[in-house]
Amino acid sequence: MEPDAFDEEAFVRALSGVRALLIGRRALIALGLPVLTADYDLWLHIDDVEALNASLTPFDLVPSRSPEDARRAGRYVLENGEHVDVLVARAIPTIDGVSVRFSDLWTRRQTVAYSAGVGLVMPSLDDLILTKRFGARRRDLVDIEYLETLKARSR
Amino acid sequence: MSRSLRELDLETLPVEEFLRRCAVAVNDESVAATRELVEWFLRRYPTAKERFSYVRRARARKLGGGGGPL
Repeated sequence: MEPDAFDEEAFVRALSGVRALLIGRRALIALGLPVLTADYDLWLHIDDVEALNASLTPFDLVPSRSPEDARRAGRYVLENGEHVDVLVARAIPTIDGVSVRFSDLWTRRQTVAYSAGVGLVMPSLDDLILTKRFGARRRDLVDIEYLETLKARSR
Repeated sequence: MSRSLRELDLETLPVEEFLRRCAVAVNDESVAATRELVEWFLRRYPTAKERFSYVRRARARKLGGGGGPL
């Protein structure tokens, strides 16, 4: 499938059948921050790897690891013309040692309209900021600043 | 964005420096600028679908993008 043939709306609809949270810069864009990214970053419930792979079969997105290997490694990639990074850990520590649990983020999730009748499921603003503390990249600092500004705006 | 700037963007900072910089309050000027940018983006592209599409086009223009606000 050529990148320009990618049916993003159908992709987003396909995600609604699994417990997947949109994280990373794509989530920032959904919330209104004009930043660049080429990828989709998902945090997926650890039991939903097979279901996600099956639901994305029509897009010819090929998993980089078997479901078992993905669960062992805590992540895998789905790739074709598009690139989807998928985290599958039950919990991930921030750089300062806070354990961030998927189940907690899922409970507090928010849905942002992608288009009429189609929603993007993502962590709350506070939880999205936490996910930006999984690494310590310069880019994450910038993103945290943007998200903090969005928080102030929504008050 | 040049390759060197992209590499800088993805650079991992020492944890202490990252946490120190996280703790610094964002100045009012920066908050105002970001708010203005967000207001524009949401007004111009009301749905996430339109925003994704805009970013896709912008990235194609920039080739090898990454980085901050467009």
